[in-house]
Amino acid sequence: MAQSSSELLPGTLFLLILRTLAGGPLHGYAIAKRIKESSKDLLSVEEGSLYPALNRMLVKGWLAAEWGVSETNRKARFYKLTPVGRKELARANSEFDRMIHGIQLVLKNA
Amino acid sequence: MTWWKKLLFLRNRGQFDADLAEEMRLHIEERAAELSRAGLTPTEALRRARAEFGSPTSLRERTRLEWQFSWIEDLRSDLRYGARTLAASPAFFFSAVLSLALGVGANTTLFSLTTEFLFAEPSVNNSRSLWRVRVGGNSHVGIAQLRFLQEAKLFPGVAGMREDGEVNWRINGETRPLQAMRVSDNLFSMAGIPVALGRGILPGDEDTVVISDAMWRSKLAADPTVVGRVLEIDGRPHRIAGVLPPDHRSVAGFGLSADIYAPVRATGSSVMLFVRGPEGADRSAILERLQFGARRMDEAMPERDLKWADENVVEGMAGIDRFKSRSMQGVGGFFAMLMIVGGLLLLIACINVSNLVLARGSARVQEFAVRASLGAGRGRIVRQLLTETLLLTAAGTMAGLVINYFLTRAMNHVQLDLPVLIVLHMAPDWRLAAYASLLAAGTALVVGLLPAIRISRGELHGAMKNPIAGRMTLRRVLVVAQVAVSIVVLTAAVLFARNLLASVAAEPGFDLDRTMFVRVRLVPDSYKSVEAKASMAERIERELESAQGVVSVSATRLIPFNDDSTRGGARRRDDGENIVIRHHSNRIGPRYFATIGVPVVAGREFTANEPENSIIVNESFARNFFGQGSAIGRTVDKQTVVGVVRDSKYAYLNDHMRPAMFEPYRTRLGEGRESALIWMVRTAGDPAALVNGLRARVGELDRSAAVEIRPMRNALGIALMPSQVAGALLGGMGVLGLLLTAVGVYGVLAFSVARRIREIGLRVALGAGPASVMRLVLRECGLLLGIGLGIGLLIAFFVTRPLSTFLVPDISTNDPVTYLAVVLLIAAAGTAASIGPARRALRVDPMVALRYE
Repeated sequence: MAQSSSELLPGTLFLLILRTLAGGPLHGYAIAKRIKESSKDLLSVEEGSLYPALNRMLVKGWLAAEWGVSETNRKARFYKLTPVGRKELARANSEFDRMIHGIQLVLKNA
Repeated sequence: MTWWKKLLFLRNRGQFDADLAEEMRLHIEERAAELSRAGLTPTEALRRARAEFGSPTSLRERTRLEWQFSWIEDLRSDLRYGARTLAASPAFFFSAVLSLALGVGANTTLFSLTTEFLFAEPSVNNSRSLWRVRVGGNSHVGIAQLRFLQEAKLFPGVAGMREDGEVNWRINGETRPLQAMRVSDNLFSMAGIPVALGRGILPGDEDTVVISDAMWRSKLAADPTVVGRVLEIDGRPHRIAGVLPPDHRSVAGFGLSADIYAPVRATGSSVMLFVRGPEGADRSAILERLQFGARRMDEAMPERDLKWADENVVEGMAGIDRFKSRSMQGVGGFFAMLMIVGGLLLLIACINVSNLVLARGSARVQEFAVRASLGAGRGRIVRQLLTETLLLTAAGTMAGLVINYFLTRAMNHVQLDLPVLIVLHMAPDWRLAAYASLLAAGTALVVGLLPAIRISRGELHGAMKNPIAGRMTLRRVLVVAQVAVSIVVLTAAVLFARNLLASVAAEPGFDLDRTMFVRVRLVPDSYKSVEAKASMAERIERELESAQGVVSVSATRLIPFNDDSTRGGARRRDDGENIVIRHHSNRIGPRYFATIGVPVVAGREFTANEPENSIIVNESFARNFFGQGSAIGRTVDKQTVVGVVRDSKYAYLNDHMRPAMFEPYRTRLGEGRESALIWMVRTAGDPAALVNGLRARVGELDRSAAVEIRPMRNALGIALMPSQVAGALLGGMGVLGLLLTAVGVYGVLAFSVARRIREIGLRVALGAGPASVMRLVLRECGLLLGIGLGIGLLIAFFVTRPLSTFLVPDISTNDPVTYLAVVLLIAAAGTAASIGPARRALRVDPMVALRYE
């Protein structure tokens, strides 16, 4: 298991959040949990990074937030992708692929 | 968009905090629920969940940070706090703002004046591709040369303008002289000069005028239907084609203005040349084309004594490009000096405020100690202080700009007593705004930095505990610096004040009190032949001579101190030697020197039937050209000297020993001076008493002529103008500097007395009389002034030396009289400043003062 999100490659936290939200609106805790589950506990997102990141993305206009009711029947703030966020996801996704590809090439051939 | 959301956030911070708290609570609860599903007790699960979550406060801070322009947030609280502290001490606030307002007001006004006079763009379309050009070193050329360049098709456009023309306007049985700009018929369209009403002068226009906004308002009652109206100008009906906008600036620059624009006369006129260059062509490209054109001009229309291809000059229409000619560099230097003095003045004001802030800082030591103990870092306190000075300087700058607005408006309306019309359109613009912001920032730094460093170090505490007189505290150093700076300003001010006095009192070398000039401008079309004009001139001269109270009359081409004409170059002496001489040149009638009161030292004056080749020279000319021995009978270029006259001044008051040559004014009546006839008249009594009678008598002879008569004492326009303008500007600044310094000295003395009340009380209780208490205060005042004086005089002695170029020769920059005046002024200001504090010290009641303990 990764020790902290600081070991995430730079910029990947935004990508993970965007990808997670592509499946539909989620609240903060659920986003963290989904990332942890999807990565089979390899990645964990700390609260100390998650909420600042979510707010940064709100400021950038990638996400929108609204209050709703959670599955546990509690008042919760749900985040969802905006059209701008969707574009950013596509952009970041291909950017990430290229980077990984590049790194792999270096590791193989250098 | 991002900043917009951030701005919205600023308004809804409460909501944000509540939302985030709710979100965090949910997070912790969900995690606790999960943990308890894994088998933990609910309390234990909640505890673990909280521990995992970490500090909510730090999370909130970091999350909030995403939304903030954090410096703005801090600035907001600093500003609010600063405004509150300033509001709590209005006396401090107002004295600081007043000091700054005076400094900034004076400084920005000089800035406005400089930018307007030197750098204002003329009212044209695309001034960057418009150029003023000279060929053959001539400022003006004939219409033939203009036509030649136009037809050479070297430039997209070539136009000409004569900036100092005049016309006679006949209205309601009266003839009024008007200042006129004579333009080639393509100037308006080529330069793209905008008009407010109607249209400009268009190609093919004749007998058409465009009038200035001032003329439209003051002389034509702002009639909105004025376009198409007909004015009788120079005896011919002229149709008004258009009205210029109020802020029209002519292409001649330097505020040169006119009542009307009219097409230039086809013959006998000379004009400045303007060309429209191809888009993007730079100065050297224009110069290349011009040189090509000038060389062809030399082939097509050769001149005897000049080559058109020599001294070709291309000048830009605005900005620094105007300073290529040497005569402009003197003016530029003068304005640079004004700006420097303005800067010094602002520095004095800054020191005042800096001192006030320091004084207040020592009273606020406790406040800062409290803030520091509550955890405010030194940086934070310095920032708080700087914010306060920023507020002060912002308020001071605003108030200064208000002063600037009213001062520049008043200066726009000043009408200088000059033969040409100069109108300035100073108005606040982006340049002023940018300059003022720069000033404000610089001022805040100068004012705030020293006190901030000082106070944040807590050094004031030490100063409070150790109020021993004689120790040079920072505040005293500042006042000494202030006195020194103001001595430099004062020295400049006194120099220019003396310069003005010397100019007014200057002996021109001829009689100012019993002479006047009579200038009659005839309508050119009424006097087509030289004979007609000559016979009218003769009639006017007889009319003047026969008038009661007139002693003698003599014609002249130039009015002393109003016109000038200089000739230079090599002249051939009778022994075959060629001698280079630059001299004043005039044409004069018989009895000229007797009329104006200049003694003839050898030979004679011109007579009524003087041969064409006779000349009279002055002593300087004779000495420079012929050396020792009599000049009578010797020749200059085949002209024979018949008389030598005493040196006098001709056009300027610093015409010191300027060579002059005079030729007979007889047959070539009015040549070169656009139909103006001029006489100097000597009177038995006060010439002012004769003005109206003579004007009426001359006016009878030709009703369409414009007659101007002025006693010479009142007609020193051009000669006195520079000294008057410089004297007024620098004198004003000197007074302001003195005032600000007096305020600074007063502040320090008052503060020092307040601090030493207990000491003074003790001294009085121990038997010190009023005299020794007074001595206490005056000694401190004397110390501050003395050291400041020593330093200031030393600096002033060196830095005022370059000013000598602006002063009449009788005034030297190292004349002790100037420095004596400065010392007396400063001493007087210092004494005035110490009266208040001294009285306060004298009133100290030992019983009250000692009870403070």
